[in-house]
Amino acid sequence: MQEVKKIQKNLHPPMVEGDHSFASVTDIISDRTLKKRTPYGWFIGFALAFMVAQSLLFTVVYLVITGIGIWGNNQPVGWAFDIINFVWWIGIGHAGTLISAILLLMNQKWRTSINRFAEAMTLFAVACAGLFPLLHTGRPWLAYWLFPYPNTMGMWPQFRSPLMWDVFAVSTYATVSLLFWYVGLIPDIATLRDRAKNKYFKTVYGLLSMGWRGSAKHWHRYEIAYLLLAGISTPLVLSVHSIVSFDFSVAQLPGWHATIFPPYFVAGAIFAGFAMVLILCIPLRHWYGMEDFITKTHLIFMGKVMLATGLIVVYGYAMEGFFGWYSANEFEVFMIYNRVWGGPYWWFYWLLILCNGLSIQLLWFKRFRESEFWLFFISIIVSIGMWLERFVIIVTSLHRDFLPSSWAMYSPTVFDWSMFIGTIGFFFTLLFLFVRFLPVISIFEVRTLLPDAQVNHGHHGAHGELNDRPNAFNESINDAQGAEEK
Amino acid sequence: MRRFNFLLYQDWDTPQYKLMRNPEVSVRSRGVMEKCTYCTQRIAIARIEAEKDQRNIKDGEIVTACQSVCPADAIVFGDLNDPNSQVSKLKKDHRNYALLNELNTQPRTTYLANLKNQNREMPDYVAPKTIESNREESKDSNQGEPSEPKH
Ligand code: SF4
Repeated sequence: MQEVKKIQKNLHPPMVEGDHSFASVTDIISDRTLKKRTPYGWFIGFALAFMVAQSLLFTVVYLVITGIGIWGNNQPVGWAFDIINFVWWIGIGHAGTLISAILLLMNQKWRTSINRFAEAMTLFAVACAGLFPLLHTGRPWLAYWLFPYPNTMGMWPQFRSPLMWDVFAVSTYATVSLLFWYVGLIPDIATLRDRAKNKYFKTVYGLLSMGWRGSAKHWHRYEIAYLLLAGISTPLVLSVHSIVSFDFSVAQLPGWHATIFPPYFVAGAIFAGFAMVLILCIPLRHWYGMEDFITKTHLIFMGKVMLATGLIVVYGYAMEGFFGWYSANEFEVFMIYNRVWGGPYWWFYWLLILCNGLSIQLLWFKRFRESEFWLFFISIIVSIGMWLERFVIIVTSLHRDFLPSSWAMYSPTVFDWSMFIGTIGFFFTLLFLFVRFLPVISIFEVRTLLPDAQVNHGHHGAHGELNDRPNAFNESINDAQGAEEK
Repeated sequence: MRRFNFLLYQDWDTPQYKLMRNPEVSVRSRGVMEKCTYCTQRIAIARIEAEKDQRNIKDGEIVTACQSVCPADAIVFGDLNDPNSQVSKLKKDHRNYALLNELNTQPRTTYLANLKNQNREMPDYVAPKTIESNREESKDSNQGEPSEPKH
């Protein structure tokens, strides 16, 4: 019997460790926002991130006043840091959507404790990403011209252009991600509202919770809305980055014009996104005492997803080389030659292979998958690698185009860097605020993972997670103070 | 070469420069690409004139600015839909070629290949067979703007 239990534990590792009840889960997560003193580390981290974010503010102001000539782009490299960073950030966001939507539909319970901040990450990453194309338009105050609206200028967007598709893909993505995140937050915000002592917190959480009282009707509507949003988000995981990849693959430029781009980009996005989730959740569980909710099992699963998607990306690199050779097209052959060893940017390619191809091979070993340090380290390397990947695709393809007369080198200016680094600061500023003011882990969803939540059913598996939630909430309503008011 | 106005290159404030500008041409501001308009202001004038007389625009009626200043008459502009226009005739010439046409770029502006009478005695003599590779640099621009007057 003992052995059977052991095997079961290996097959279905517990998603919540330690001895927790509904009340203790609520306490631990909500006290972070409401009761506990904000740790000094938070202030230091926030101050640092906020300072770095100022470089974004400075660059954007200067850019709006002067024009995008302060960047290093010019012919033939007309797209450089702006689109590299755009694709990088959008890619990072994808893990959040994958975790919240696809894993929800697939009933993967381990998503429950990481989905909240993964979604927040998506949202903030999309905000950073959106800045780049917006500012690259040159006159960002006229960016609404991108939308098809009747106007007296006789102007209509060119729907055959993938850049146009981008506008719709990304704006849909941002909207749906925001809705998904917010709808998921409502029950937890209501918990915070009920527990808050501070008048201001009470008011703000009260407004945000939209009158949530946790009645069966509310739960019913919530479940339907959440499921619908998950359904809407699911195709977005695949479509947004496919469309981003069309920006390149629809063009004729060797190095861009490849049919493998959409799946290769989507896999790369999820790869980069999981790396970022790991970068965020390892310090979070460590310093915020969330080890019971974000367990080793979670880290191991994320490591596995990273390995799988990373291998797809490596396959993409191999296929690019193969297509170059197999096409027998002299431009394609030259592109591969130029990218891999003949061109001035050859070492970027090898750095990329090192970061994205070789570093993840460590994840085959359990020792590395289980180690917080190594996962964190590999995730950082992968994030750098994914940035290099976009650099290689964009800059090394553009700088040697069809007309040798226009060949030129690209080098970023200080404003390219300050803007990029500034968005990283902006991203972390938002995250620090999120960690401070909202529950980082979905309280009511984690409660469904507890053994208590299963008791009502007696048998396992027949009822999905969705059915469990209302029970978990209703029972805990007794614990929550002031749940009866409103 | 400037292909895009990445910065505000124009000096709008110095009053003397206002006299310098062609009032019919809007100067492009920051954030706009630099591109040939085929002298749209001249096309507009010709179109209005033709419309007043209830006729089609005649071949050669529109002379672009670059065409009018070209001392070698290397630039021809006209209606490509009219098979008898000068530009259509030149387009049929087998010396006519387009930039990156092999990529199906379909540019309006096309060029005529250079012809060279070579001296056999000279060291850079190339046998006539490969003469097509000497096409560069001939800037015979001829292109068209379908210029039927609209009623
Ligand atoms: S036709 Fe000649 S002068 Fe007119 S806009 Fe084009 S290049 Fe300039």
